[in-house]
Amino acid sequence: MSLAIGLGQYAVGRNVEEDWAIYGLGSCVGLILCDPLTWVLGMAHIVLPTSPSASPPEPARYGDTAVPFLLEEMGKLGAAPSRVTAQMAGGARMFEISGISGDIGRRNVEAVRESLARHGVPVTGECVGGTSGRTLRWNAKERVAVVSQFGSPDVVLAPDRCLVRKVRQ
Amino acid sequence: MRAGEALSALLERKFDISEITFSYCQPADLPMLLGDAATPVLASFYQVHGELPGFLLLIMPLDEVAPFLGPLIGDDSIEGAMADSAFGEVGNVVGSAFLNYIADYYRTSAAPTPPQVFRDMIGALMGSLAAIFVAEGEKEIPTVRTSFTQETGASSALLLWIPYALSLSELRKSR
Repeated sequence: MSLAIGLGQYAVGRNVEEDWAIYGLGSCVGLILCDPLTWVLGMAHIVLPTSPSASPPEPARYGDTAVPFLLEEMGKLGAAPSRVTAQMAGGARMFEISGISGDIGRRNVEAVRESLARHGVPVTGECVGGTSGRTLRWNAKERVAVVSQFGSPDVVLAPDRCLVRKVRQ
Repeated sequence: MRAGEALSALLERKFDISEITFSYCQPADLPMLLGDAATPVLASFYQVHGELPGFLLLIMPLDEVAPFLGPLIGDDSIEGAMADSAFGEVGNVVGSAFLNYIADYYRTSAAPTPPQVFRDMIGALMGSLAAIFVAEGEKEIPTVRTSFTQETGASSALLLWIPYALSLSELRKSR
C-alpha cells in the first residue's frame, strides 16, 4: 500500500506507516523533508522552478515555494526546521526540444537547492539530472528514501545514519 | 485511417484502429495516460514544427513490444539499437501519415523532427511534457489520440499528438 503523489501535490505526516511515492519523475523534482527526531515527513512533487506569485494556490508545485510551505506544514505536526534534512530525486532532461522553456529539469534542481540553502536545510542524499526517469519512494518500514530507475537497481538515498548524524551535531 | 493503413503496410499485418479522439486534459492527468505513471514504455517522440507546432508520440508498453517488432526485425529480442531504430521508423511512418492527414484537412503544414526513442516510465515522459505546458501558462493540455491494436490482440500502440492550444484554436478559426 502506498500513497502516490501526483504533479504539484504534496503530503505531510508523522510516523507514517504507508509508503509514499512519486512515480515517473522526469524533469520534475521529488523532494522529501524529514525531521528524524519526531519523524515528521513532508514530500512534494515539484513541477517548475519558480512560482508566478508569492502565494500560489499550489505552493508544492514550485521549487521556490515548496520548501517553506512544507516546513510550515511540518512545523504544525511538531517538526523543528533546525533538525530537518532533505533528499531529492529527478530533474532529468528527458527530451531534446528546441526553442521552448530551456532545461526545466536543471532549473528545478537549482531552484530547490537554492531554497533549501536559504532555509538552512542540508541535503543528505540526492539523485538528480541525467536523461532518465525516476521513482522516488519513502519506505515507511525502513524509514529511508529509495530511488528506482528503469533498468537499474534501486538506490537508498539517505540511510538512517545520515539523519542520526544530523541530530547529534 | 491513413496512419493505420501505413502501419499495416509496413508491418504486413492487420491492425484495428480506434477512432481519433480529441480532449483537453489536466496536466496532472497526462502522466497517467496508461493508468500507472510507472509503466515502462517504448516511446518514439517527435517535435512538430510548421503551422501545427506541438509534440507527437508513438507509445507502447514495453511488455507488448516483442510481438509488435519481432516480425519486423526478425528477432524476438527487443533490447538494443536495432529495436529502437525500428520503433522510431514505425513512428515516422505512422506519425507522418497522421500529420499529413491533419495538415491536408486544415490546408497547412506540419514537419516532425527525427525521432527520439525512449525506454522509460511513461510518467517521466509525459510529466516532462506537462511541465512545458504548465510553464507556458496552460491549465489544460489538448490531446489528439488514436490507438492501433494488432489483430491478434498481442500488442497495441498509442499515437498521441499534443498541439499547442494556441495553434489548435487558430486552426479551428481558419477552417
